[in-house]
Amino acid sequence: MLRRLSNLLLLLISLLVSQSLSSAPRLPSENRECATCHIMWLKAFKRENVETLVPYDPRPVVKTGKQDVASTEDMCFSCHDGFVLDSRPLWQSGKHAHPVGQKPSENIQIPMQDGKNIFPLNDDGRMYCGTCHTAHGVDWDDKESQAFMRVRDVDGQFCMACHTEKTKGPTTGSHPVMKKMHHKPAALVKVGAKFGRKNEVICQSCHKPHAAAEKKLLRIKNTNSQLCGQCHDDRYAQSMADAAHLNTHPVNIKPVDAKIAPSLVKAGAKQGVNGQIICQTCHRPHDAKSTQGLLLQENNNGVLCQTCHINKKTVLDSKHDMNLTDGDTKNIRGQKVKEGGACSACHLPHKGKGPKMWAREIDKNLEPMAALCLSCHDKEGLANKHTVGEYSHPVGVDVSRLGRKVPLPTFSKNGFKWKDAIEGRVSCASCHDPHQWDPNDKDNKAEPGDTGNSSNRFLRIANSTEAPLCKTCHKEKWNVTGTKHDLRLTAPDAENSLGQDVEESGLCGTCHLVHNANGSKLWARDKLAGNGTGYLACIGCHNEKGLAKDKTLGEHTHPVNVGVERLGIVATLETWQHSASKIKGKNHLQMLQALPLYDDKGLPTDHDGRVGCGTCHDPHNWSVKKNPDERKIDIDKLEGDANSSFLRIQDKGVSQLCVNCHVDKKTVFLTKHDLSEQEFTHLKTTDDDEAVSAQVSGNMQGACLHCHKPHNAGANALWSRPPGQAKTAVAKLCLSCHQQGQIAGKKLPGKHDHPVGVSISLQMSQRIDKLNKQQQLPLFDSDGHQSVGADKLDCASCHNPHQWDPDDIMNRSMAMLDEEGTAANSFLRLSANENSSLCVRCHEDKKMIAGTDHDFDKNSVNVLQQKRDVSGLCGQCHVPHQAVSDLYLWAQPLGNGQDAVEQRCRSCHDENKQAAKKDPEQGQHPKQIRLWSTELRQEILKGKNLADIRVFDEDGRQNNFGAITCASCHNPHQWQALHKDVNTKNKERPEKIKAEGNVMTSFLRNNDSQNIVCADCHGADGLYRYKYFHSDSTHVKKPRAK
Amino acid sequence: MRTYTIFLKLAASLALSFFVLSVAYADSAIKRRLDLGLDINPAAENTLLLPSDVAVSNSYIYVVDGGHHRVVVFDQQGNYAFSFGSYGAGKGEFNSPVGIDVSEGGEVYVADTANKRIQVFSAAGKFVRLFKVKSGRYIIRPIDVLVDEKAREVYVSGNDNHKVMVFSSKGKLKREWGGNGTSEGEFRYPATLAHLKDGRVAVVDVLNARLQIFEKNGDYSIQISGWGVEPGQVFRPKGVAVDKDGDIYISDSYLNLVQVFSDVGKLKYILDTVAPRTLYTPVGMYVDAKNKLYITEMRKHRISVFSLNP
Repeated sequence: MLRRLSNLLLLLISLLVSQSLSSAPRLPSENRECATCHIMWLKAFKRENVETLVPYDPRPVVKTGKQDVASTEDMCFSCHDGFVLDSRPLWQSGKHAHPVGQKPSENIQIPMQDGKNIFPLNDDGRMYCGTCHTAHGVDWDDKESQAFMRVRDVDGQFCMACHTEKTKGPTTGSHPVMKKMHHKPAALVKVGAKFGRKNEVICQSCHKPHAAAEKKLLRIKNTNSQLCGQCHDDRYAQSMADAAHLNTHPVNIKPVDAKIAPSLVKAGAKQGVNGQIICQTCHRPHDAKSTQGLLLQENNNGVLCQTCHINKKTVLDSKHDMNLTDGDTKNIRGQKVKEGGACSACHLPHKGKGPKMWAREIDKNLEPMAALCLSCHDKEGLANKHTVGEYSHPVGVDVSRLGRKVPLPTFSKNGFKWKDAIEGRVSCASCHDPHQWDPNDKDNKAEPGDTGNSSNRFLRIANSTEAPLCKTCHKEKWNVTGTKHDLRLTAPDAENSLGQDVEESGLCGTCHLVHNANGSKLWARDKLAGNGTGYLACIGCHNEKGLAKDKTLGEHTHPVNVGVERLGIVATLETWQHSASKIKGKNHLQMLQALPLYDDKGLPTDHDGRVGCGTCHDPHNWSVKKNPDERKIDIDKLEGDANSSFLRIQDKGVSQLCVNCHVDKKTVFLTKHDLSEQEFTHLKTTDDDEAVSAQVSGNMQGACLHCHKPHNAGANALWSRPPGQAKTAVAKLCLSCHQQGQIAGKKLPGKHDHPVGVSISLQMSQRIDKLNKQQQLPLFDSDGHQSVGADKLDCASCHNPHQWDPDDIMNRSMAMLDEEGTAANSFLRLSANENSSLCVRCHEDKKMIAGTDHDFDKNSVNVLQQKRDVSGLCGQCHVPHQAVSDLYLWAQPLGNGQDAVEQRCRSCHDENKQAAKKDPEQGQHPKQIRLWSTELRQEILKGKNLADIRVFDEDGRQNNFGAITCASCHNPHQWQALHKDVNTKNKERPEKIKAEGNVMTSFLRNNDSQNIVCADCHGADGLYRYKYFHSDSTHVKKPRAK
Repeated sequence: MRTYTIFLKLAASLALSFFVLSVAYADSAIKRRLDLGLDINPAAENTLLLPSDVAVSNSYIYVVDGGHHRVVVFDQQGNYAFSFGSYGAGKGEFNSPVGIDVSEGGEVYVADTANKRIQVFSAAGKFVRLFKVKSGRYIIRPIDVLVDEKAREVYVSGNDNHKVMVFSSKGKLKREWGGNGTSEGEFRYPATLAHLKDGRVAVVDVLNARLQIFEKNGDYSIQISGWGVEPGQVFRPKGVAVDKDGDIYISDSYLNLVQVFSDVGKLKYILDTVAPRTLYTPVGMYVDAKNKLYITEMRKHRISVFSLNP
């Protein structure tokens, strides 16, 4: 009961106190709650004989004026100094605060209630702390606002109560308030910025009434629009590149082309600390003059834009002034040109569609900068009569590849502009200035319908006959001047595809058109039909009826439209790298000079490029030496050589251009096939003084050009020498020299040589195909080409005329003609020495001879007087050239025998010869076939072909009607019969067989029957007979029984 | 029952206030004029901004430069020596610090108010340790800190809980007393702290406008001064200091004066300065070993030093 009474009493007291606090008028009271601030209400001041510590002064004059002592700054701060409450962060000298001690300006309208200001002023009519604050604890019934404010402070209501002129948004020239924000900028949140209850921007988002860090009570610096940029980050650029990236007008940069006009500054335009353009250069957050975009002045017809961009005013009244061409056309904001002005027809200061703040729809699939121009210069665009065609000057190409500064503007993808730089991409605006029709006359605006010429057309530089605009970038192309490709000299009457003569088209225009060209390379002349690898344009002149009809290519010409991968070259636009060079078995990377390769459209490409005319030829440079004096000579008499002829690399007597691709052919240098050495030496021994003089004069050609010609060659392989008399296409080339009276007259093949021009057997062909994966042994067709399916052997199947030693590319024989080759070199593709690898590539079944008694020792000599180490394994019995006979290309003196085969066996197996111990003088197998006519034949043959029973005619040729001879039973290359797997070693065969053989060895051939070779002819009966007559008991006559 | 207790406490408090006032009133005309010994009012980049408290060691004068969230250190001649701390919540950083004390060993204790912690630094200003001002489950804004090195205790006045808390030197709360109220032993915003000569603890009770003296264990002892504008009374007491004689100095930041009391609460004199020097917003104070009185004048952004020796 007592507790209830006490609670009731407390409630009553609190109600009374509450009433006294909140209801006006308040009566002076010495009560502690009141006199805590209303110090003068203390009775001590009224008591007599009391000397108070401070004098009685209820309305002192303080800094802010005369006012109640309870609301002076001293009183407020006596608690808010950190010891009770802490307002020190808000009250900091030197920081910016809402003014006090001042009278409100005329713009301020203090709201009234009951005839009184809601926000009271002091006795002097000035603002003071109490104008906004009250210590009387106003209860706002929520926690969203501080209790000591005179008006509820949410959603900026407190500020807006007085500052009404700044709260109505853009219509009154002020920044909008209560507009929903897409995000709360972290930097503002960090400094305590306030936002509306639903994340709207309010006054305190930017301003802070106390202890603001910056002038204008701004929360953060805005000298370079840092504050603006917090929310408007989509248009707050830090640089030109940033502005380009954001598709917005640049800020924070010092204008270069443009200039902030003094009149604009006078009108209130702000500049950054270093004179940069900033947001406030054009905009004002309050008191803006233009309600649209809060601009500091109206921008009708782009006048604000033109205030700074004076140099762009030349666009007005030109063909790019949309007001003249189509005033009703709208930009992406729906503004008509005649309303928004010429500038806004193409540009919007913010939120453009593409680079350069573009105000029109663009095709995003196009090169971004070109897309701006093509938004009109398209078949369906406003400028559909001025399109650029399928073949137009490339855009988006990086000029860095020129390796020098380009005095024309270049651009990034998003429109950042470089000037006089070595970087950036070419775009329409590199050559064109869309704001000025005539580069030499700003007042020349062009008449409507005027198509213009190469001197105006919005070009940055007038392009006269000397083509100075083209020359700006394509300086190196200017070397065409004075060459045979300078059509002003060689074909002054020729017209380009537009019917322009040289005078009209200018030098470049004779062959190239910047827009609407005939094909790749911006070709301005007729070309052969179809797409090709950059050669159709050349052929357009270099044909029998063309301008260059005396410079055609001929039937045999260097191939085009082929890749260089097969040559072991990895090519990009910038680098060529050859990885197939082997020196002593190790791969060596070799950097080559990169030459252009072309795509289907004839344009240089990085991927899968193919050879075109332009790979070897630079049609703009007669000679890489670029000797201007050479161009002064009579152009009609000028004849090219290996060091000029528009070649990209000079021959310099070492075939530099050729071996830049044909790297593997470099091994011919300093060999006997290096005719640059050989021919010179040879000629010196002749009386052909003129030829010698030509060589000595320095007009040297490298090794390649002594045998090959890139164009108008006489035969396959681009052969440049008179072909010799031979059966096959390749042999003819070889015999150009390897015949009597020629350079290689001492190296004649002979009467009995390895066959060429013959198709190899299918079995052998497959074997070669398989082996070719390891080592190239080329086969040829009848035209001497290594075409698909070619199956004929030719000289080059075994010989690589470009490499003396197959195992050592550094062994060149030093081009000494007298140097005699061996089976290990001699331009062979594989060494025929030792185990005769080259021979057994094809004759694989013969390689089992190695290690047998038929593998001759090192002291044996063949008919060419070659020992084993020179001739190789096979070479003791066979030589590919200059053999004793065609049969077996025999390499030993023939012996005495009844037939050709026996004669060859008896080269050794005879009295006083190497194999004299194996001379079968007696008991030889009869030559005649006697079983052949018997009925046993079918049983013996068992369905096999007759040819398998090996009989030979007198010339040693196997046929169906010959006689039995050595080879009928013997295979001289195989010691052990039944050893059919050529890849396994003969288990019974030692390194050298010195033991006697038996019926299973003894170089007997593989038997076809199930028994020994004898049984192939004699059947099982033969075996029995053999056993009968050859058993130990057979020859022992048993004593007769007595 | 609780209501009766409140009434009784209120009555007792009023009676004591009357007693104190009577004592003070009797000697109200006594003033002691002191010459300004040292004016610590650094210029340029070392300018103080709203300093709140001062503590002095044998080597240095440490001033809480709360407006700059740091401690500025001067030598004994008042020359700028160095400063430590900056705005932040990391170790060695401050957020609106208020009070400061120096232990006999030279360690500097700072009430890092808005960070709600006590930070301890070496004499050279190197961070040593910190502890949160934790009372129960609440973390409290400290206003001032007072070190009892012999007892290895740290007294802290709490702004939110209106209590005096005693921590071990490592930050463990050992005892606390007070609470929001006007009775003996209660506080309305306890502020600065000082040891009396006999070791008792003096606590400025700002909005109760009095100085309360406690035994070390928290037992209430006496009250000195009270609310008013007459000599011996205080209106906004902020700072307290005790000289070598045991006299107690109380600063009043609104009345802009310092009054000196005996340890039983008798007003001895009002500190006077030589014109034109006047005190303005005096807050934290300190009497050093040489019996010099350091007065922090917050809104003058300076420290005034007076010698108390005759």
